[in-house]
Amino acid sequence: MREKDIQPIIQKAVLIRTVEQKLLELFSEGKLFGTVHTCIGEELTGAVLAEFLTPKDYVFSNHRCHGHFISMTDQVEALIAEIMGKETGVCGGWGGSQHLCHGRFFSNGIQGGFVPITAGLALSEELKGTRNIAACFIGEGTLGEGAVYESANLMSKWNLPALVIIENNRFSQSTPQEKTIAGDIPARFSAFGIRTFETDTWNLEGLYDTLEEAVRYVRTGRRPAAVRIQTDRLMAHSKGDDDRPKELIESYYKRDILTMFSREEPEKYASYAAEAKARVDAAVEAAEAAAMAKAPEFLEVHSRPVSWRPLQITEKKRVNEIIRECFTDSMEKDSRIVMIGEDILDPYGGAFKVTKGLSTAYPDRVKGTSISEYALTGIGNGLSLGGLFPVCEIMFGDFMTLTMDQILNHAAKFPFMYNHQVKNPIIIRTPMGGGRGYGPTHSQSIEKHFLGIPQTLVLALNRRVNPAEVYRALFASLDRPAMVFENKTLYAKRLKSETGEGFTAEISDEIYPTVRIRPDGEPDITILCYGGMLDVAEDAQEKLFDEYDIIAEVICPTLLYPFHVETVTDSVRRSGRLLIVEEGNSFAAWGSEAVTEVMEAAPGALKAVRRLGMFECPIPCCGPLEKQLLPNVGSLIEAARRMI
Amino acid sequence: MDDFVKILAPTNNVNDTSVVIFQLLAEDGAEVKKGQAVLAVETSKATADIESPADGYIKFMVGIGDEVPNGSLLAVVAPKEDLLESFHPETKPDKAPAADRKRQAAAIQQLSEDVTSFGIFDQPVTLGEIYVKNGESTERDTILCRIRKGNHTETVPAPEAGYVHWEMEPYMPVKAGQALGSISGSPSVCAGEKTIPVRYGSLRVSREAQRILDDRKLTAAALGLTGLVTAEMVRERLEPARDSGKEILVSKKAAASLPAFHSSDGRYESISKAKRSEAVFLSEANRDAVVSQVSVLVPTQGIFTACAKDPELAGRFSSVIIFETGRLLRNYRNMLSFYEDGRLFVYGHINIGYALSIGDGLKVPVFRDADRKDLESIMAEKERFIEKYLSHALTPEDLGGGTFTITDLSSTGCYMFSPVLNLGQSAILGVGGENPGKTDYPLVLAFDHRVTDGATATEFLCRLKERLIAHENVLLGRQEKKEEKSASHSIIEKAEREKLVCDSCFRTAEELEEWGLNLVKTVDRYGEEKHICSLCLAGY
Repeated sequence: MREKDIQPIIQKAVLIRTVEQKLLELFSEGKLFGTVHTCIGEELTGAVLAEFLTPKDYVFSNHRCHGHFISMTDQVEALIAEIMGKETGVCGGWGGSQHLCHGRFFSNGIQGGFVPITAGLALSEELKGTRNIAACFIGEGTLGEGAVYESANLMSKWNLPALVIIENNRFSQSTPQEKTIAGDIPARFSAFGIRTFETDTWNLEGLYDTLEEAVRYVRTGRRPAAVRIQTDRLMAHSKGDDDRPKELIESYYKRDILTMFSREEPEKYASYAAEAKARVDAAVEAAEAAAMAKAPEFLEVHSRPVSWRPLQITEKKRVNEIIRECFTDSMEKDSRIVMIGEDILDPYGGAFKVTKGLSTAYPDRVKGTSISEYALTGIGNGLSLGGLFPVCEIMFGDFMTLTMDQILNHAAKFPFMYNHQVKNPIIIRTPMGGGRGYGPTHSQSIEKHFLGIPQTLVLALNRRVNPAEVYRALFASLDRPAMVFENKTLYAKRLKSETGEGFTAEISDEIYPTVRIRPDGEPDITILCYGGMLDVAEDAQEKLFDEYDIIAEVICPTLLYPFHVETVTDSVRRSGRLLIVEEGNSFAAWGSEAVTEVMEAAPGALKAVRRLGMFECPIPCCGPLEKQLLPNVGSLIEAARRMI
Repeated sequence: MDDFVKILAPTNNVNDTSVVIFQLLAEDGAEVKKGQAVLAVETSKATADIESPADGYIKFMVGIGDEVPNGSLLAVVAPKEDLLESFHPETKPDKAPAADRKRQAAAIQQLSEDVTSFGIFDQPVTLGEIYVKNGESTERDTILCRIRKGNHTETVPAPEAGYVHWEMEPYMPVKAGQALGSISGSPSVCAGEKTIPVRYGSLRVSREAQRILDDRKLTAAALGLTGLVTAEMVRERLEPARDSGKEILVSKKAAASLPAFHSSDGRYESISKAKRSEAVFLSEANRDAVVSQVSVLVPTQGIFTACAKDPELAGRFSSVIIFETGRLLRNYRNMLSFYEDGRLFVYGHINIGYALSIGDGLKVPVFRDADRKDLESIMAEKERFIEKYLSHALTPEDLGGGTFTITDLSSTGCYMFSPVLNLGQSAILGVGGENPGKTDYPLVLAFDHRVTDGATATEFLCRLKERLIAHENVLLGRQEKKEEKSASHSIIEKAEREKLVCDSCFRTAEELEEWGLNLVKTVDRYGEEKHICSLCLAGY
């Protein structure tokens, strides 16, 4: 470190501290929304790291991100406006203190979740063949999150240019480190073969040299590194929630570089502080004059009328082969597409063989992961923010629970909370459904838990819509997360276009089409279903007619959410009865929502409603019992007959 | 493939969506000439010969007894015999001959390509008579059909100009929200191919429905049912009830107690399309009607005497009945109507259907405006109908539009019988044979008691009887009377006569003169001056 490098770092640190102190002031004045987490005392971590990063490097920060943000972007004015909820803010006032985005800088308020995203961003740069790196800041408290270790494993295994900075201030919010953190912190990373660095914010030169070396190692060595920076948080975690002893805090000030600098170089410090204050005051003034954040314009209209055409299928292959061919073809045409998943590499080619051959054809773009559903989804999110188009395979739908945080708290939020500065197409596809005796944890249909997450799509494949068309449409137009649920009994089946005498299969003109099995006569009942239940519903439809004189119309959308009610209302207006069959439990599920949607869209049309789902118990392994408890032709017929 | 000329199943009338192959008039593979009749098809109303459209060698794609949808490929004609082998029947037939399409397309210009549905009601209706046939063009607001809706009937105008494609058959119940048909810019564009489902592509009968049909030895097609046929639909056809809510319960119970006709000793046989169609129309016509009948006996002596005198009269007497009935019906408009939901639909024309059954099934050719035709024309028309009947040449035009029916079984040796009402009519006249051992024959009038009462019906019959007797008298004395003048009434001068008509039978004075009849001036019971011919006077 040279003498001339010090001044700009100190100057930047003073600016950060000035901003943060102003934010505390504004907070007490009631001019901020929510809370602020200040990094007073820790400013140098970001200020020094910024010296070695370029605007093309990615930085993902946490709740305590203002210092990192100013260091990397110098967007003081936009930051203040953002935290004040103004439309001139860096995220238009949507993100606030913890959710910032500018250029390649991101922050989020969920601990640990952005570590795999950082790995994904690093992977995206590797796949693009750049020299850029991805860095993230976590605190030692976040070391309690499993995401960190899933990600560290893959960062090391895949040689990703990722830098993890651990700001070790020894308090997780209020909990002292010794009460919750066991063992050695750097050893956590070295155990994965990651090179670790140790430094602190009390020794500027050491900090500077260590970070310079760490960044050089990651950038040139294309390997991950972890830097533990011992530091002190001088203020409370958030606001007024500081239970630490006063003496302890006072001892921190004694080694605080800025405090020392103000004593050693009072004139310089005063000058930096005055300059910073002027800028911050002007920023506050401008922000106060600016308008509050605006409501989004929801342009999507769901109640578009649907038109139908006869279903024609010429495809003769099995469903898993069709998807595989579509992926092979799409990866050929679109170099953004990256497949990630467990056991998806050749020769195995995935538990259901959907990705067989892909890793041989595209070894770089097909990534087999450890058993890390959370991390692989997070890596997908990182790839997506990095401009690629990830397709994540979750081996069994039951394991989707482990991806929920990445979908709900990350992927689904990005476009809005970053004020549409990013698009994040990502497909998370997984087999769902029972009927194979896999038992309680490999047979469920838990789609309902993933429904209704704003700004996501939930799709379910069925036997009458060509999955290649669904995936091609997704690859062509997706700009947000999409979950595709593939009923596992579908894979070995072939598509079907024929129907029994008296029924016509039709397909809608939606991007993700709905199938309608229209009776040649007026329906007595509308059966609404999705995925694997289509086969059951159609069998029941035939039997209901032949044996019970009940004419049913079956409707099976591909897109479960957002729900397109127009596909159903027409039928329900004619039949007056709606029976929903879904393979999962029916309480607080897709069917409940479908009923509400229909009642809202066609008041008075419904005279009878029934939901049919899995019994309210886990799915047993025993085959016959499983068949008995899952919705089946018999139970569907019984339900329909009770309605008429 | 261009070398082949295809022969497609024709669409002969609005009610048929299929034809039955009746006869193959050439050997498979035989050489045929253009214009040569090569096969005969049967529709619900007529049998039609289909001619070869070209010289060549024929290959049939259908066999006798096959029932195929309209537009199906029936046969191909190849210019060379050896080409026949190379023809693959998978080749889909055109919906309509190309020439026909072109002609129709030329007839209507600048039509919208869009398909517009018409006749969608918010309550169930029954489709009545269709005025514009399937595939025909229509102007905007032209009346397409009549429907029954609740307690009244109404007409359905065309929403725009174009070609009409019917989705429903006449006299079929139509559910709420269901379109009767559609109008499109092209005769070949079936609405169903775009947005509206194809209605007649399928027939599937539920198990319960099949059981009921089997019990009654019926088929769904015979009841005019298509698509998905449920037991309820079958029961509706068989046992209509006014309160549909109750009806299901009652008819389900009734169905459960139906005696089974099943027996191992025997088998089902298909019946002709015409018979099936007849079954539908007759059961539809009689399901609501309160049928009553009256009869009178008419002496046969006069006929025999007349025929003995003039052998030409033999076999023509039925024409006299048509002639006299036509005239008489002018005074009995109720007989020319049908009951529908508390109102009468009264026909504007006296079109008398005459039931013919002389060896080839029942056919009912219609004498249009029978009241305005003279006896000679009716006799001539009847002869034409018989010729056409025997040569399977009766057309839908010959058979449609009857407003009253006469069924004459006098030549069969049958003495007394119960005529059955036809669809859309409220009365039918039966003519029986000579009462064995006596010298009279019966006239039976079956009528819908909701429209006519017994007294009126009897009066009608009595007047007809009197006319027939008078007619016999006229026939008997035709020659002599021609020169005679009536002495008992003042005779009207010739010049005056020409403008006058008989106020009873509406014959003109001129016509009467030719018949050797007189028109006399009289006063009716209300004191009004009337002119009555000597024929009518006999029963006045």
